[in-house]
Amino acid sequence: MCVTCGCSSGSNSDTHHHGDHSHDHSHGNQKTIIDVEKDVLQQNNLLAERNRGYFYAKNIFALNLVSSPGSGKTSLLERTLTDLKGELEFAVIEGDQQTSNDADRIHATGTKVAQINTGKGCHLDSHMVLHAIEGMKLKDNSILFIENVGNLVCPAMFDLGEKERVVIISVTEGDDKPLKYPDMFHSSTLCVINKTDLLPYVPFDIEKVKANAKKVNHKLEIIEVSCTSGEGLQDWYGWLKSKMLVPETV
Amino acid sequence: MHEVSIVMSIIDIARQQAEKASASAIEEIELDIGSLSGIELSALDFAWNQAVKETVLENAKRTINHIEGRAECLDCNTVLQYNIITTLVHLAGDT
Ligand SMILES: Nc1nc2c(ncn2[C@@H]2O[C@H](COP(=O)(O)OP(=O)(O)O)[C@@H](O)[C@H]2O)c(=O)[nH]1
Ligand SMILES: [Mg+2]
Repeated sequence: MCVTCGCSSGSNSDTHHHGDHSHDHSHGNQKTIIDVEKDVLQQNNLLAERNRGYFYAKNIFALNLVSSPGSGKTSLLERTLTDLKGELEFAVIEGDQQTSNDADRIHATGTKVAQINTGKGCHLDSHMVLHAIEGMKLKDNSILFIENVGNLVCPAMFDLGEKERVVIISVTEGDDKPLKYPDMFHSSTLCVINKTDLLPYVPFDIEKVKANAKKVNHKLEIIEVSCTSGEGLQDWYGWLKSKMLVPETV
Repeated sequence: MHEVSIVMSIIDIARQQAEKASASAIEEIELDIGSLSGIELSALDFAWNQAVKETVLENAKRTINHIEGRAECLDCNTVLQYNIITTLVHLAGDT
């Protein structure tokens, strides 16, 4: 039986119209057509919602940090965890194909951290994050940074249950990247432009990169920083705190 | 190559549906893939051939329906083609 229209296998051939598509199929010899109408990412989305519910219940502000390798995700975290120590409660999940290098760097700041190694995988998914948080005993009213695998393409499709997705681009990567990799900029809520201390040495037009980013996502917020010189970090900290201080409705 | 994850999900869903329907084999599978879905078809193809081995989909014929992206102008409701992510500016009267 066809699940969508409920036709039985009595007739030999039918034309079906299901929503915006139609197809022909025959109902002869024992063959059955099942209309599944399921998003292939449904399993990931389901577990992402589960993570989101957990974060919501504990008032954990979860961020998914995405960028190409080397844009400065871990550097930004090191600075943030050190500078805001004592002010806010943090925990970090590190995603990389191999090694615990980044987790070690985070651990050195005295922050609770879990490392996920994806092996051949090119992105984190909600299931991996679910497992990671099971063992972390996250505190209420804290910030959870999830550093995704360095990759400007694949992580875009995978909701982890985060509240905000932050895409980081450094000035050595070229100002056309938002147009070349639109999915990531489209699905993010904040863009951090890092390594502004290197602007004098590279032909990178910061106004152009902003315009390009806005072209694929007009709602995208943009913050310019240098993790090395510290310039602009106050804007990033201000953004973080503004997100944390959302008054709780009683 | 997140297409590998995509193919694995498809295999999972197909297996579940086949079990539910007490099917002995899946002969054909039809997929709707939109141009804005973030799936690269050649990568999907490559991942598919590797991933379906020894699964319910190993011998299934695969048909892909390409779904065009569409956008609707908020001012005049004109429906436009929208196949790459970028800002579209539509002036009433244009097509
Ligand atoms: N000049 C400069 N280098 C930076 C800055 N932020 C990070 N880096 C360097 O960029 C490299 C990659 O940084 P990392 O944080 O590991 O990037 P990730 O792969 O995105 O986590 C390291 O050598 C950092 O020292 C910055 O603001 N300015
Ligand atoms: Mg890193």
